[in-house]
Amino acid sequence: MIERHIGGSFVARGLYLLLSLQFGFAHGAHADFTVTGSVVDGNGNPIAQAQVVYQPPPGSAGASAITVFADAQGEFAFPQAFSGTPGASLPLVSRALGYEYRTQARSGSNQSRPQVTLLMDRVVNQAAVAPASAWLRQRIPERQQQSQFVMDCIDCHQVPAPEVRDYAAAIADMHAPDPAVARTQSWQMIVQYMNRLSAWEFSRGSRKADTPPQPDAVYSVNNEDAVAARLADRFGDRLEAIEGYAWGAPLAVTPQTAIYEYAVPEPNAVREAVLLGGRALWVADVATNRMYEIDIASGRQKIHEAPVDVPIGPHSLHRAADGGLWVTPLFNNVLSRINPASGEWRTWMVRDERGRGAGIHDLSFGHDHELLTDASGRIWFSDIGNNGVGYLDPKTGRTELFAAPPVPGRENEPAMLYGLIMNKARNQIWYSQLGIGAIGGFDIDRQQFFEPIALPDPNSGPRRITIDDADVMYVALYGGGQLLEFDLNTRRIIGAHDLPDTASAPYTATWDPVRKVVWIGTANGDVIYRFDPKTKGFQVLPLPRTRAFLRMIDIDRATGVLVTSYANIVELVQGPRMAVIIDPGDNVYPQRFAPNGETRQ
Amino acid sequence: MKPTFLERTLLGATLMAVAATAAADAALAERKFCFSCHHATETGLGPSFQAIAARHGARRAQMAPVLAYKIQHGGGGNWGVVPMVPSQNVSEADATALARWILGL
Ligand code: HEC
Ligand code: HEC
Repeated sequence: MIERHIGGSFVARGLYLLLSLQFGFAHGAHADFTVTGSVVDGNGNPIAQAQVVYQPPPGSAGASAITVFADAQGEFAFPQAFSGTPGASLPLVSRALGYEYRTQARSGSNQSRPQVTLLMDRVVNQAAVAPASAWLRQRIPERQQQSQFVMDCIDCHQVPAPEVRDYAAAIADMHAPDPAVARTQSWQMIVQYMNRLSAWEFSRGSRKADTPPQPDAVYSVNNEDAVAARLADRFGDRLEAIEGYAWGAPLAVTPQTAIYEYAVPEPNAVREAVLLGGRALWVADVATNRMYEIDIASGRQKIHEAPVDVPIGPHSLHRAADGGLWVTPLFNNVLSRINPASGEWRTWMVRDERGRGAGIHDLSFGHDHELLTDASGRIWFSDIGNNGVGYLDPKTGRTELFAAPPVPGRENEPAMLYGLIMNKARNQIWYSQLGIGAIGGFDIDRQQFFEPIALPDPNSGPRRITIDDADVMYVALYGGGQLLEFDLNTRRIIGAHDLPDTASAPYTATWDPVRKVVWIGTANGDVIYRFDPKTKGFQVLPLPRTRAFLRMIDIDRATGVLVTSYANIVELVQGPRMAVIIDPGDNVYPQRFAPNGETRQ
Repeated sequence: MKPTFLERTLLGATLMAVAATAAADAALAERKFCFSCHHATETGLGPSFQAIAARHGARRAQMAPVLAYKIQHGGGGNWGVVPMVPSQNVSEADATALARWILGL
């Protein structure tokens, strides 16, 4: 074990760059204006719960886009004033399933309080707004095939995202003498290409920069021909029109709900984001080996370069009670902690006494989604590299690794031990095994694993997990499209609840300690679900753009805003890479989030 | 040790007798993941760069912009029924440089 301490003077000041995007607020002579209005269809009927997206001109302070929702009368209001003078046409659009935005008209004459009517037309083809999951669910309705497909293909981008549909159209455009042959060969090429991209992307953390992996390395799909055959069969047409998709549950929005999206400089491979101090968005970027710190009020961005001599690849973020931010790497053994106040990094090369290194994925979360250590202050991690768990004692640097027991019948696939939580008594950790559809636990005092639990579908894909304050654990089943509810006290499954859209690829589940609900972020559905354990019912929070590939959701302890990211990966993939703050607008938390960083009581 | 993508390509590029800028073009092709599908002399998921140069060699000047367009927008039919994927992240200037490099201009 080597402990490295990166001096604050070197990292925090030396490599610390400032992308100065400072506008607006500093100058006294500017007008502020507020925007209100309504969303109606061609007959003047209100479109309740339509999204209204304001996209400030590039270079403006604050978020890159702000979204609110219309009320039952179709009326909307933005929570904050915008700076500048409103032009004749405002950078506003509305979005709703089954509608298309047409035009806007200014109704009020007051310059500083423009009132806008947004007109939408009803359309049958929902392709512009429907998520990728809408297509997937219709094309591959058989649940086991659906879960297998999600596990095979949805790691980096949505399927079928618009560019995937475009490729299907390009195959059709070949006018090949035998279209079936063209489909099979073309999808075979795509699957092989994707495997090469996977080999490149997922070995980032374990190879030197600029050294490509072996071109033949296969990482994600090992049943290439079967996947290609399914694509040729189910995605064999031009994929241009989709009808009849519905969100599948009541919307979890109010007229006060607001979504703030912050672009992160490209190229990047953004992973997770957290909000610190109500004002600083910290975003991990595996690709550039950096953390971005975005000031939400000014939009100013600081870059925190990770220590250069070890390949970290910042991946998962864990807030700690002492104000520190723990950063896990892209599956290697470099664990780090950044001090958000000073920007100082500290890193540990995690190795046990026999010199074995870990392949770290997550650290153990407690019920408030903070890092929870055991009674002796040890930090537990999931070891995806060795299919086990382990700890680092940050005081002594000591590490022990424990190999997880095999899951009967599932010994031959890579287990991918992934998510991790700790119970209230801090003497158990529980994990998910993404690759084999299993969950398991470890008794810290006895240093023993519990008997692992195999879920019925090996492709159910248990991913990020969370725990409530009564030791009930919730697991996002990525492939299965379900939320698993598991009681640690009885070690029994309470239920596996189908999400409103089972093809949505739920990436993450986060317990909300104040609202007493679980928030579920999806990779393929452009939504966040809200699960109420009392009623077992779901609600839907639709996101304001397509290709919104979500990863972890954090919850700001003071204001209860959800903090997440759109994290499409491999730099050349299409789609947004942004950090996102969502105010559910339910006024449940004692303090109210403010986009200028000035939290209100 | 096996050669890396870049080494293989540089090897191929040398075979294609291309001068100093070749290294920069090869690096560009590498960054844009062209070598996932193309190699210098062997057929991969797409035709080899050598075969492409041979096929279009007689009409290099006309073909450079055609291939540049195809690199950016994708398309097939010249080598089989499998369309090449578009590379929207490649600028027009880069696509032209890549096309000219492949054609050995
Ligand atoms: C390692 C991450 C990764 C995985 C896993 C992945 N893709 Fe992709 N996919 C990409 C990237 C990156 C691009 C953009 C490639 C480009 O522009 O050349 C892409 C683009 C595509 C395209 C459009 C082709 C293009 O370039 O325009 C299709 C179709 C596609 N992917 C299908 C799939 C299918 C089917 C699977 C499952 C077998 C899959 N992807 C899995 C990263 C991935
Ligand atoms: C996913 C695989 C794939 C990738 C990635 C790819 N190509 Fe291709 N490429 C093909 C295929 C397949 C063809 C054959 C198309 C045809 O039949 O017309 C092709 C054809 C070509 C041709 C010849 C076109 C013609 O009409 O003769 C050129 C030039 C070319 N590619 C350049 C590139 C460059 C440069 C890149 C990187 C920016 C690239 N390719 C990336 C698959 C790929």
